[in-house]
Amino acid sequence: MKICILGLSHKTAPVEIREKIAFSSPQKLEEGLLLLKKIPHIKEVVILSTCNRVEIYLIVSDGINWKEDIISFFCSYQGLKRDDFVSHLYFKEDTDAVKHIFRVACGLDSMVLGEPQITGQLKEAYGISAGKNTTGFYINKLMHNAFSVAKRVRTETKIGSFAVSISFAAVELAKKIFETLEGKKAMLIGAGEMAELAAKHLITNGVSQIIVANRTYERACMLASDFNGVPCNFEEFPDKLKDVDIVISSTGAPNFIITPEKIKDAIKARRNKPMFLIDIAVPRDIDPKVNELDNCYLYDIDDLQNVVDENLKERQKEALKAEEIINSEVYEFERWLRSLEVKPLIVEIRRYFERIKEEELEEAKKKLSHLTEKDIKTIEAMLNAIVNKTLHRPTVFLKNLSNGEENYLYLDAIKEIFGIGREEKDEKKD
Amino acid sequence: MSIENFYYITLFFTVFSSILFFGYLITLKKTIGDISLIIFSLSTIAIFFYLVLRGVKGGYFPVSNTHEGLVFFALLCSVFFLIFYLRNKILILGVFLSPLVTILTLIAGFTDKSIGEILPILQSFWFPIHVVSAFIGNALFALSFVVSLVYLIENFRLKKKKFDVLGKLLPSITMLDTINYFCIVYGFPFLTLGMITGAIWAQVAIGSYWNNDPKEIWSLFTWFIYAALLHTRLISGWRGKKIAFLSILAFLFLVFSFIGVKFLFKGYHVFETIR
Repeated sequence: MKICILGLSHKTAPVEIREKIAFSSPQKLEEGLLLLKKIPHIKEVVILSTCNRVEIYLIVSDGINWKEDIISFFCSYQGLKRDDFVSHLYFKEDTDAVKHIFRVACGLDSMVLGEPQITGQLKEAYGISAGKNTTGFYINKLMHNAFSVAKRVRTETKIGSFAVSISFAAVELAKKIFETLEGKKAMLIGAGEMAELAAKHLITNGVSQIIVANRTYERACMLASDFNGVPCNFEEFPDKLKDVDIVISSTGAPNFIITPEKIKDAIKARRNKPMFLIDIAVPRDIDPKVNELDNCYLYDIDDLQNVVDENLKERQKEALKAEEIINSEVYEFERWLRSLEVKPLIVEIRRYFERIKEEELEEAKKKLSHLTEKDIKTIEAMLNAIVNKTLHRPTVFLKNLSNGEENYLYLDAIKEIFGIGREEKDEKKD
Repeated sequence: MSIENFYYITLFFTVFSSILFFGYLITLKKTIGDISLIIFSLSTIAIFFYLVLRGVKGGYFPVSNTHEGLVFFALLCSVFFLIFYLRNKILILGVFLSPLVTILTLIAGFTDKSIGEILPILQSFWFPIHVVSAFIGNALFALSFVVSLVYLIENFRLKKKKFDVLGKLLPSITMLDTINYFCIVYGFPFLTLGMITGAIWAQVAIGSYWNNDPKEIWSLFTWFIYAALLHTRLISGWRGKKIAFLSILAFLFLVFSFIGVKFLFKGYHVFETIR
C-alpha cells in the first residue's frame, strides 16, 4: 500500500497547460474517477481540480508503476500529447505525499498564501469521490486528518487574519475606523474594476447604501443598479459627501477633484463623525492634505498596497508556524499507518506464544497424570504469567515504534525471528 | 499577619498583572494577555477583600483616610475595566489601565496604613455617599483617560498608515470614542453628586457649604473642565482627537486635585483618622 500524488499547479505549469488538464465539469470529474478506479492496483482515488491545480491522490499497491498508468489516463481522457504536460507534473509518495496534501489543505501551497478557499475545494473534491465510492479506508483517514490540520492551522495561527488584497485591506481599514460597517453609507466616484470590487466588499460587510457618481449619468445609473445604490450627477457629489462615511474615488480626472475645503465642510456638517476616503485613481483624485484633517482618514492606492505587503509578511511568519503544525501532524499520521502494521504483528506473536504454551501444557498433563485440577490450574497460571511477562516489553516497544527507515528493519527482523508469515510454508515442508 | 500587611499582597498582584500586561504588549501573545487578565482579576478581588477587612476591623466605612481612598480608587478603576472588558473584549486597555491601578496602589503604600479611630466629622450619613459617588466619577474619568490615550495611539497609526500585529489588537477608533463618551457622560453626574453631597456633609459637619479648602477649589475647577468637555461634545459636536486630548487634560487636573493638593496644601480633606 502506497500513498501517491500526481499533479501540477500554478508553481509548475502555466495556465495554458492547467486548463487542458483540468476537469471542466463535475460530470467529467466523476467519469474520470470511475475510469481511474478501474485501473488495477489503484485502490482509492480523489481528484482535486481547481483553476490553480490539478492533483490526483491515490492509494496503490506496492511495486506498481502507477505514474505511467495515470499519465496514459490523462493522454486518452483529456486528449493530450504526453510531451505536452509530463514535464510539468510532480510525483510524490508516502511521507512527501501526506505532507503535500496537508500543505494544500492549509493553503500553504496556494498562489495567495494561506487563502481559505482551497480547504473547501478539497472537501468538495473528497465529497465527489466519496459519492462515487472511489475512496476507502486510507483516503478517508487522510482527508479527515487534512481537514483537521487545516482547522488547527486556522485557529492556532493568524495566517487567515491578514487581508492580502487591496479591496479586503480597504474593508479591514474601514472596520478599524468604524468598528462595524453595518448601516454605513458609501460613495463610489468614477468606476474601475478595483473600485467596484472594493464597493462590493463593503456591501457584503454591511454597508447599507452606495451613492454612485459618474461623469456620464447613464453609467452611474448602471453601476447603481449593480450595487442596489443611488445614482448621482457628477456635479452634485460634493454636496452629498456629508451623508457618506466612506468614499471610494477612481476617476480619470487629471487634477484633485476632492479638496480639503470640500471635506472640511462635509466633516463640519457631519458633526465630526469620521470619514474614510479611499483614492484608487492614478493620478490621484483626492488632495493628500485631506488626511491632515481631524476625523478624516485618506488612503491612496500605494498606502493600501503597503498594507497588503505588510500583511503578506505577517502571513509568511504565520506560515512558518503552520509548517510546524503540519510536520507534527504528518508524524502522527505516519504513526497511525505504522500502528496498522504493528497491531497484526503483535497479535501474531501472541498467538505464536499461546500455541507453544498450549502444546507444552498438554504434554505435561500427559506425563504427570497424578496432578490434581488445582495443580494444573497453578501450572497454567504460571505459564500465562511467563508468556505475558516475556511479551510485555516487546509489545510496548512495537506500539511505540515511530517512523523511519530503520523501523522497517525492526518489523522485518521480528517477523523473521518468530517466523511469522512463514509458518504456513514451514508446516507444508514438514 | 495583620490586616495592614495584607496590603502588600494586593500590591504584589497589581504589580504582577502590570508586568504581565507589559509582556502582552511586547509579545502580543493571546495566552499572555489571558493570564494577565486572570491575575488582574485576582488583584481586583484582593483589593476588595483588603478594604472589607479594614472596614470589619476598624468598624467604619473603609474609605475614610487617604490610604483607603487611593485603594478604593484603584478598586473602582479595576472593576470598571473588567465590566468594559466583559462588554467589549478590549484586552489591550489593560496594558494602560493596569499600571494606573498599580501606581494608585503604590502611592497608597506611602500613606499611613494604620487602622485607627475615625474622626467624628467623618461619622456622617453623607460621608459615604460623598466619597463613593466622587470615586465612581473619578474611576470613570480614569478609564476615559486610558481610552483617550489608546485613541491617540490608534489615530496616529491610522494617519501614519502603520500596520502590524499591534494594529490587530487595538480597537476601532469609533469604539474608543464611544467608550470615552460613555465614561464622561456617566462620570460627570457622579462627580456632580459627589460635590453636592460633599457640600451638604460640610454643612452638617462644619456648618458651611463651602470652606475655601484647596481641594474644594481644585475639584470645582476640575468639574468645570469636565462640564466644558461634555459641552463641546454634546453642543459643539466635537469628537475624536480633540475630545481625547481634553479628556487627558481633564484627568490630569483631576489627579492633581486628588493627590497634588494633598501634598502641596493643607486642608481638612487631608484625612487623619487617628487622633
